Amino acid sequence: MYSEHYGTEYFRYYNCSRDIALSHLSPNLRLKERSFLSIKEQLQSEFYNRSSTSSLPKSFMDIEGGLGVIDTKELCEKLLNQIFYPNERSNELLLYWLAFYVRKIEVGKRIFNLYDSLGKPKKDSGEVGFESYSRLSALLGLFISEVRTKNTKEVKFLNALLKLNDLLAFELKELIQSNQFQENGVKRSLLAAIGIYSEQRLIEQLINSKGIVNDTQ
Amino acid sequence: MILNDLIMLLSESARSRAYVDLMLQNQLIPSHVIVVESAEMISSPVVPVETDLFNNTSSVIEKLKKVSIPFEIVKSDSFNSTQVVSSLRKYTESKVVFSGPAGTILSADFFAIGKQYIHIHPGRLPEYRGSTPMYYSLLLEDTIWMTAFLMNPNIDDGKLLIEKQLRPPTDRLTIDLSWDPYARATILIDVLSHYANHGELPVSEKVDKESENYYVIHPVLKHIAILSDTPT
Repeated sequence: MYSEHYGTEYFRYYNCSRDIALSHLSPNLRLKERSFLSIKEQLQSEFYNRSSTSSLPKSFMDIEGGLGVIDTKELCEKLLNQIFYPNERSNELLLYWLAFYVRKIEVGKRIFNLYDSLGKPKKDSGEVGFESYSRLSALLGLFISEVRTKNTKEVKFLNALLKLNDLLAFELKELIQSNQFQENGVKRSLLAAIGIYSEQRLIEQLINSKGIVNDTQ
Repeated sequence: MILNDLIMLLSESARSRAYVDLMLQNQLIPSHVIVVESAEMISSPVVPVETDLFNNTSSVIEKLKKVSIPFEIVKSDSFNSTQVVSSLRKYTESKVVFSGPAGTILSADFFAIGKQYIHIHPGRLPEYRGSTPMYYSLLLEDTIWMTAFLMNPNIDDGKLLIEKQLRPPTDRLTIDLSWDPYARATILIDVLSHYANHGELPVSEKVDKESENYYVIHPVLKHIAILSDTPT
């Protein structure tokens, strides 16, 4: 019921598990050897290189002419576009939709492709795959790291990001073992790397700000 | 002093042992106690740790027997069973000190039998609703709050009685298994002392605040909260 305590040694284990995940993501991209900034720039220049023409829905009922069906992939792509183009960004709407997914990660543990107008998953639409989990991870990581409004609820979102990245690291291991992870997944690799890198940086900052002497780095 | 309108609804746990211990020390005696032995407690027992804060090694039943407080044991599959509600319904006392298994959310049936349930939440309400709030407040404010409130069918919602800020323990590793149960018990004593002296429960004058739900803290964040040496 209560999680075990391992002292600062736990941070070594944690960083190690994240480093392993990074090293497995598209080896050709050499993500582990690159800076966060260069990965972010590649992601933006290759996949988010123009601002979106469509605006973010303001609520469930604002989607698809009031039909209120949320398509996770479509919505998260719009949210990422907003992160990359601050001039067109609505922090309030980013917060609204990310809070929705944070609750889903924390309570339901799984994210579905479609949600109805009440925010309930349309279970026959299926659980999202590695790419959408990576997209959410990148979104949360970038939002906490770079948007930082006074209402970001950073620790809550960071908690969800850690759980999401645990899932990504586990899923990655499974995918590699089953030979389903293809080398051509550049976008999903960059997204996952941004999510994991952001999280590691945020955790390191938090450890330092709390005066913890972490001699395991 | 025997609190004639007060009953306790407990499962065997460090929190219940701390409640009973401190109540006995302060001579605040419940009229009856119901001890629920539910499957969820039996399947995941927590080994009691020794502590200087309260007697955590003798069971609730041993403590009650020692001072002859009447008690009833209810064996049930779940704390939330109709059996437990039926047992509770038999008693005329209107106030119930609640100390169920961690994470138990009382079903609506409990609220349909005309009783008030006193619960101590380890965080400020409504600002820190949900699970493990003490670790979040350590991360965000380097402090810990406790709130006594009367439960309603919604989670961590209801009439606030007392809110108190506490200095975190020097050894934060003790939080889960001994400090938190003790800290909650001290707030319960504040509530019951007020009740014994004034014949009514205290009422918090806190103005409405925005509520926030917190979810079970990830082990990495919990380690940071425990290892933090920021002065309080």
